[in-house]
Amino acid sequence: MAPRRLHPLSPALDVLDRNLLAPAVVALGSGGPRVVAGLVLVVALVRTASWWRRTYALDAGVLRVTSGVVARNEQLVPCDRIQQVNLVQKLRHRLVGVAALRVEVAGGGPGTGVELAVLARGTAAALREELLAAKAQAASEHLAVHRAPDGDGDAASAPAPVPTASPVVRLSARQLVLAGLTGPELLVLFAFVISAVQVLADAPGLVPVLDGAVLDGPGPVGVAVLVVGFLAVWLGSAAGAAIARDAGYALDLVDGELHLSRGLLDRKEAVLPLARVQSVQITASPLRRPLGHVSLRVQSASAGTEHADRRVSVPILPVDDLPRVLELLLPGSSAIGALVPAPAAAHRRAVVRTLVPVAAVAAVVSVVAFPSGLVAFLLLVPAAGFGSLSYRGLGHAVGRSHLASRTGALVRRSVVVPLARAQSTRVRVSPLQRRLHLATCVVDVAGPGRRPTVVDVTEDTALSITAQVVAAVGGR
Amino acid sequence: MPQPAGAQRRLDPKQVNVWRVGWGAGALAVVVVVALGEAALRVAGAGWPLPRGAAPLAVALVAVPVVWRLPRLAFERWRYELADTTLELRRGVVVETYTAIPYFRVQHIDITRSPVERALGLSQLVVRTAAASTDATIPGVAVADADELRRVILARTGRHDAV
Repeated sequence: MAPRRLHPLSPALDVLDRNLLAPAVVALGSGGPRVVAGLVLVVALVRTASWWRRTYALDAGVLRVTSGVVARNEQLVPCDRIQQVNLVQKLRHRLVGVAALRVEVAGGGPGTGVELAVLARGTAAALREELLAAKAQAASEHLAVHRAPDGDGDAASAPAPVPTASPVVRLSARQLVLAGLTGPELLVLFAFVISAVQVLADAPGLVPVLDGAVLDGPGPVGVAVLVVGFLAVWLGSAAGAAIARDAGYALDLVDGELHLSRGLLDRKEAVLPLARVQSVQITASPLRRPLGHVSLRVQSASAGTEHADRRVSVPILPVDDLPRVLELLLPGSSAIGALVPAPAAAHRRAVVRTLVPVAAVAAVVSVVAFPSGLVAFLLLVPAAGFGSLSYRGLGHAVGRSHLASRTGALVRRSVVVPLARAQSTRVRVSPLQRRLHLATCVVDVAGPGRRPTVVDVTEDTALSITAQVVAAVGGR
Repeated sequence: MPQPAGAQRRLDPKQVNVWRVGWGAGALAVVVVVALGEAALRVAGAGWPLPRGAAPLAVALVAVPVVWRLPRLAFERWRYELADTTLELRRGVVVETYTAIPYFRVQHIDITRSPVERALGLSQLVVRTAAASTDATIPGVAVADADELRRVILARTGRHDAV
């Protein structure tokens, strides 16, 4: 492939991308419209120059991106190192028919991925297919080399299989609304709506209804109306945000790759090869658990997936559907079986672990605010209850090829990891654990996100988990 | 010090002094902070129940035996082994930790040397995998052995797609 440039509209869309609003406002305030025009002109010239100098090429399984106006910068990404390929179409991209392509690689910070913004929609999709095909070919070449004595390169000469697409998860609008109403953004939006109401109330004349309520003092009907209005705005914006983010949610399994697309205004697509899945995290919040729903997060080794936008995740899923989805995401994981609770001795440790810090804080408070501070010791009762809950939240299961561990008192978090994907393991024994013959086993996986931590099992169990991990991580 | 492969290895005994210097500096910093805090409270006029200089002195009295004794204990507990398929580390006085890293997962190995380690002819081997949370640092490796140890471990990683 000869080196190609990005789409000609890139500089224009790039100008809109960067946050130039603040400097523009400052320029407007200090120098007037002419300064702003000059600023825009300078920025446009710089962006056009950098677009002119930015090229990409895909040669022999390596993606090469050269950029830089003054100092030349070349990024080389071997296709077999690709973790995930994301396609993002924000609203302005959709209007013009372009898309931004982002390639995630293992490790490193957010700066190590390759970003091509923007390409024509068809070009971006074609490039994505080529990158993933080159990656698959490099992987099969690896295998062919290692099987060479008997294989004769069978893998390379086999006919290309017809890609089969099977849907993994589809979410309806109703499910997305439920996700929004029970999701973590609820608290953020609560604070936001409260502060918005305060701003509106302080600015008389903006909203006449609030004026009347504030100036005359609301009667009981007025209070009821305000509360209902607040709830409507709060829950409505939570549901609306969930729909905007995930509308048209479709997670498919296409020929060994996970394809995810979602978004109402900004359309986001991610492709993650199944072989790159490091672990799957399942979260059951106290709001969703009674409703029988969980949320999933599929972890790849790329650090760029710390951003929720770039991650492959399922915002909401009925618990009954979980085994089927898990088996598709991690083939072989259904052999794990039910989670085994932690040994009874761990109950004591869980309660102690919660009581000690609370007791310390209560002691400090009661010394500082004696004698009324003694009330702080009453906190020990709910703390003990919380410790008991966290013991009940513990559980683990080890199958032939997968490990699952669960922790958490109110928010139950489970992690399922294929043993062959583990990077390293650790067994830790604290003094209290030693007395109770317990240990904690931690399995490290690549990428950001929760590590499977099997807390408070017997020492023999912890060591046997370690041995199983070591045996499973063999290398082909 | 040539040791039979597969046997449990220990750190270089000079590592005890490296730890003592490090912990001693830390303890000194704590004593200074406590003394400054006490002086600040005095200047601010808040009551301080103990006699002058008692708090820093108490901290120093507790710290000295700890700084002297604990590195020795830590050294006694430290073991590492180049097993068949994994690099295994055992360490810890209060919290015991056993770490196993399959060679196949090792991405690269750094050799670092702080000024104190350089003065005593020691170095640290930092073994890295694709997981940021992997905690495998072997301190107290004699400079003459560090490169050889790194070469031996990397030779066992093989040439596979490790992530």
